[in-house]
Amino acid sequence: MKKNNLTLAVLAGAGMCVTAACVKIPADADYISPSATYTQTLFEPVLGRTSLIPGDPGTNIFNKDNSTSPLNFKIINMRGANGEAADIFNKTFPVLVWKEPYTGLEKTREEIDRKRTIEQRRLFEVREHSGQFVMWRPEDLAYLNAIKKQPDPGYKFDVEVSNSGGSKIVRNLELKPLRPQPYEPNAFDPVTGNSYGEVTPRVVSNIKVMYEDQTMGSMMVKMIFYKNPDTKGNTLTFEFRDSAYRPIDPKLFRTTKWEEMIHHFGTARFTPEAVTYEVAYPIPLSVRPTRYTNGAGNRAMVSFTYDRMVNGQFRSAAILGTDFAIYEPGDWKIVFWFHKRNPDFKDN
Amino acid sequence: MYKHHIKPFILLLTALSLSLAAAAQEMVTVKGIVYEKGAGSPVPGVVIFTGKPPRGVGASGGDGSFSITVPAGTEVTFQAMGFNPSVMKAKAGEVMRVYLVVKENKLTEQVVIGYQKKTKETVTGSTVVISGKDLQNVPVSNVLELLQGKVAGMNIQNNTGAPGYAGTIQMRGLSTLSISGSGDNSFLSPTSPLFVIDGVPVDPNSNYEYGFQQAGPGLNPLSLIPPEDIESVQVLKDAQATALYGSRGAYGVMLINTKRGKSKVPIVQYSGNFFLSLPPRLRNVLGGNAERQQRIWQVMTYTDSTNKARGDINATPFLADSLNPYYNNSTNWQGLFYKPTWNHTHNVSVSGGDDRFNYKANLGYYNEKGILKNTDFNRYTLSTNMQYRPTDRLRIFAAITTSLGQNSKGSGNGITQSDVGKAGKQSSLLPSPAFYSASASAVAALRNENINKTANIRTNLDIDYELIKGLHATSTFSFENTTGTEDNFIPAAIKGNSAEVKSFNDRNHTLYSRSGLSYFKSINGKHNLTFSAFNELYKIGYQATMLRQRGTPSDDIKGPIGSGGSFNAGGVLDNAKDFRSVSIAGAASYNYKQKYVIDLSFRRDGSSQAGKNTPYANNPSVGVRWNFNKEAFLENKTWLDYGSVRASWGRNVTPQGNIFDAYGTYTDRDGRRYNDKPVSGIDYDKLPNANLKPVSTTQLNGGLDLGLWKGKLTMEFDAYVKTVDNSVMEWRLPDVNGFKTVQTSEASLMNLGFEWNFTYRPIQQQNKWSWTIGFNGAVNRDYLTRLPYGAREYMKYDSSNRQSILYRVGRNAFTNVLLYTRDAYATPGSVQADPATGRPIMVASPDGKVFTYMEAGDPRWVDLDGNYIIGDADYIYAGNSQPLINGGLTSYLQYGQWTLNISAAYTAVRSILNNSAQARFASLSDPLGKDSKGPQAIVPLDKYDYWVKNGDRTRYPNPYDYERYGKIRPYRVDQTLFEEDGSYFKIQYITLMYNIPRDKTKRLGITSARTYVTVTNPFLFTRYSGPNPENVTGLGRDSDDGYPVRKTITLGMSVQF
Repeated sequence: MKKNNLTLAVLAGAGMCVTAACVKIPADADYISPSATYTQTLFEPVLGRTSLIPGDPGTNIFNKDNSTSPLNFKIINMRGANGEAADIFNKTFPVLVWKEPYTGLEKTREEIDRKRTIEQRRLFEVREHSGQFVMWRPEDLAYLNAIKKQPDPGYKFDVEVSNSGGSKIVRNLELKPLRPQPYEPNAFDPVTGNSYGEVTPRVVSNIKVMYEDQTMGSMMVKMIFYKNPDTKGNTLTFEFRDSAYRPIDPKLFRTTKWEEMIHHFGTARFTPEAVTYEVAYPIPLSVRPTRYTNGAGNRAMVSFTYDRMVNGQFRSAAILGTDFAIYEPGDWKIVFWFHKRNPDFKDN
Repeated sequence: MYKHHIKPFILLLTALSLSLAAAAQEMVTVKGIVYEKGAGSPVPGVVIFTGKPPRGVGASGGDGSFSITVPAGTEVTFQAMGFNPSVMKAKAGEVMRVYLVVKENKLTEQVVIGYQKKTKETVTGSTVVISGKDLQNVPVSNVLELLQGKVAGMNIQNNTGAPGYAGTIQMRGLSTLSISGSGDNSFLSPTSPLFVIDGVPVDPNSNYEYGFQQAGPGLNPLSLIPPEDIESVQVLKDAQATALYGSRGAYGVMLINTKRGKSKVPIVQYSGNFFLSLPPRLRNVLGGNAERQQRIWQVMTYTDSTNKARGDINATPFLADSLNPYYNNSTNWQGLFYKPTWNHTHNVSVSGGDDRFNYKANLGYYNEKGILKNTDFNRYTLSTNMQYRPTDRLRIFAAITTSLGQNSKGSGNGITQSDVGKAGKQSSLLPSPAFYSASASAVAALRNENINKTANIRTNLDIDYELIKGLHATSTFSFENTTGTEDNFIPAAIKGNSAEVKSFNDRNHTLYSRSGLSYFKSINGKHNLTFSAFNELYKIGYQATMLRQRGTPSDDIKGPIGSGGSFNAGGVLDNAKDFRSVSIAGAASYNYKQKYVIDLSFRRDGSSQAGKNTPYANNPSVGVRWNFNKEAFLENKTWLDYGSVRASWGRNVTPQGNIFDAYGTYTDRDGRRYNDKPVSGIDYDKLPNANLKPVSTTQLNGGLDLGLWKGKLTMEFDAYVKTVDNSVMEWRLPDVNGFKTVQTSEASLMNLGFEWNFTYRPIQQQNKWSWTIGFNGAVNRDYLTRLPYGAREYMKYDSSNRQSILYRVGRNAFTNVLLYTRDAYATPGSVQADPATGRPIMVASPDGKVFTYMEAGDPRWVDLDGNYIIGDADYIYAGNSQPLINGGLTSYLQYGQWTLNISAAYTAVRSILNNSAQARFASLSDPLGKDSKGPQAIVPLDKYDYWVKNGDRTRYPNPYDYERYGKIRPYRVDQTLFEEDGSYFKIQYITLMYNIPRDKTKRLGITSARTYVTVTNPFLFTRYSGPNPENVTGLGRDSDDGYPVRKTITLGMSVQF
């Protein structure tokens, strides 16, 4: 009896061992390709604005070569171009992030503020699973002074890419930040910061030169961006100046759809010298096409229009328009200066 | 068989007893009939004993009747092989009715392993026997339908209702990685077990590929066998059991034995069924004005500007022009195609004979009109067999089976009916078809003439000669020829004003021969040895040709087809086959007092389909069994009827792919010439694989059989590890290679499984009541263990509806790759925002170039890679299309002459892609009917929980936002929203049967009669939201075009003369 039980136990044990030996299931592990890598290795974001790299949703800068998604990305070994330490990128700073999507339909600044919040982030981040990079704009722009800008050779870093199948390191990616350019369009040299040339509006059309039988070209209008260093408001003012730098009443652009320009709050405030909007910065708020932006959604679009009778025969519609972006909050003023000739608003 | 052996002996005993009885006093003559309990059929050759020690006093005749003379009041015992003895008291002048109960001891069942009969007690492999009696009372075109849920580990899904076609059948999980087709038509390469019909192997996997094969009748070979003619079905599951069928046995083996004559008095049996086939409940659609109003409301509500909406409606005649008779309809399109039908079957068999000579002839007719118009199946069969045994040493068995299957596929391909699928979805506003129809598909489905014939002749001859005692020389030779034809006529009205005649025919022949020697030796009745060796030869040939003529003179002229050069096409199809295989095999078996059993076998198989470098495969197997109830310490335990432990290991192969995979195809380069000479060269699409191997399955099986408390409870358990190696897969080659793909046989998978089978008899057998409950099932988990060229993952992209399938090592073999849908965005604020840019999450177009912002009401897909774009990188590895658990439940309740038989089947834990639900939602995407297929029917969505207004927390996104539908595609099929659990429990059939008492039928010369009512598919319990979780493809896709499974109500009777 005992012996038989023993036999049974031995048999059962042997059976289990045989089964265990045969049942070898390989690990259910992800695949990571040895040739998975970044297809762009040099990154030159402009400081002072939040940039997503790549900005175009249709572009992919990481070729995963059939590796299993999602991959985990991690920036490691951030260092100066010559190998020196780059601590600033290991620290976090308060930055403004979106919590809810911007729609362009927000009615108050509070509504916008509710959708955004301050978070502590590293200035240069890689998105954990997509491999996209984000250069954040710190709330206090003074921190940017600690970052080496071009023409400095900048920084080098490695990205560790991993999934459950293993990991690999993409080495020696280069980060060469450009100095801040608080607005666009501008005339700064991105490397040296020196100014050259002038900024002109995108569209100057059918604006007749006073006393002359010709219309203006865009070279006859200068755009001047000015931020009041003493105030901390969130306004945007448009001024129009004649060749003697005397103010032109904005109401003279009488067919302008003032309330449909610039995502603003409340109504536009007019003075004989300027028109002012209550806004939220940056302008445009998001990279999203709305009624206030150009088609790509990366610049606000304004156009100031009027019309006048020409020789009592037909009505000519004149347009002064431009696309622009402003990345720093403040009380900003954009001056359109007809610096060569004066525009003619009168019927003829 | 045994009954006949003892007959002369019984006669002697009877004579003896009669002479003795003359001397005794108070002798009475008792008459009566012996029946089999449950079946109600008379039992011939029952030996009748009386007294102590028992002596024989008589035996029952061919019709079960007996007449014995015994002292009054004595106990009479009735005993027959395979039955429990029954004891009754003899009373004068009474007609006794004796019911014998079938002995429920699975161990003494006769099984056939490797072409040899054995008792199950000495079998080391895993087998299941199903008696033909269980298959009689339900009319089906294919007996596989009834085997569902009867065998643990054999997963049968009756996934088509097309008459004459078979569902999918898998033995012990998955055996292939090969998938063909794409989209709704993607299907798994069939891996049916090998059918061995009366000893002749019939391959069910080639040319019957679920009817997906474009031309030809596509009938399953089992559809040509009438279930009434089946004596038993035996399923061999593990490698040891199938070892000797090895050259094609990798997917399991199913032995089907037809009936034979066994009664000295000839028996004529008729059985007939009349049945009503009912279509399942069709989906609800909005009809007439309700549909128009719904469309108008949707356009008015979900367009930004009412002016545009008005303009759109006014530009859409079927919405605006509501009084036009062409648009003023409420057509029930589905009702045009789905109709209940009346059908009938008849079967007559004549059989008789004894051990020396017996015969059987069976004549069967089966008629089933499909519930889908223009489809049907008729079967005519005549099969005869006979066995002749002139001396004890020579046995000859010969059989001829002829069958003709005639079926019509309508305009579909047997399994899917895309025309019906399309036409059934037309808007109800369109007029119903006459000769003209708003829907060409409708006319195609209704007016297309399609006639298919499959003629099959199978002959076999079996000779067994005993050279010296114990040494048998056996030879089996069989020839099978199947011819299929398809004639198809498409009238001009639906074929661009030019009628089309198509004619297809194919020939398939199989020549099979097996010859061998076997030797049995028993030493002192303790050591039993069997040796056998045989060789096996196959030759299979197949060729198909097709002819097509477009533009016959009129719709009334359908042939003969004249000449018409430019409209004429035809020739030999490229699926010709010339297959040879040769095998040698040897087996040895030893048992000690039938207590310890060991089986060994080895075979070497070569086939012409394997690559040039790998023509042969070696397949060993070993099995052991221990019948522990025969051990001394258990021998006298009354609670244990039997108990045994089994273990086996073995390997089997089945040729796969085709010869072109191994040797390539040569083409004439489209008739081009070089130096004015014709050229030929290899086809660059497929690289020949000189190392192509047959698929090989290796199984390790452990089993436990237990019988307890005198048959009250029997249990069988099996655990197995089944490794499938050398599975063929199409592999894309790098584009630097000259060839596009190669069929590699380097993939492997593994199935781990556990099977159980319980039979419980809660009520004692002597009672007037009897009740048997069976419960079986299997858990099978598959794992992919190897991919070609060391790959870890391989994606089978689905170009048509993006439901790709992932192969990944270490995971289940087929993984659905889908977007993960959580719910619908409830409010604008709940839409995710890119924290850097502030824009909402976007959806990429299929080409990845256009991006659309999500809004409230859009589906919340998980952005797996966190780039705030839903695109190709966000597909998750979702569910498994292969079921984890399946099995069946049977109940057999009997009271007197009444029997209630219920059979159920279940499948659990399986993912189904509910493409049919997707189509319902998608029907709302086009209120203006701009689809190229015309306006589609609108399905009410009441039972779904979908987004309507801000703040709704719902599972389904907004179905009405049709302007953005094409960009967001919220109801795309490639998302987990439509991946549902396909578990179900269904009642397959309920049969209520009544055995008409013999005294009522005796006047008519009827020895037994029974009548029954059967309902099939009456109930289905599932959480699945689609119509039927079983009616899906082997890859778990539910499509609109499927052929629905019918319900039937049958009135049947069986009479024996």
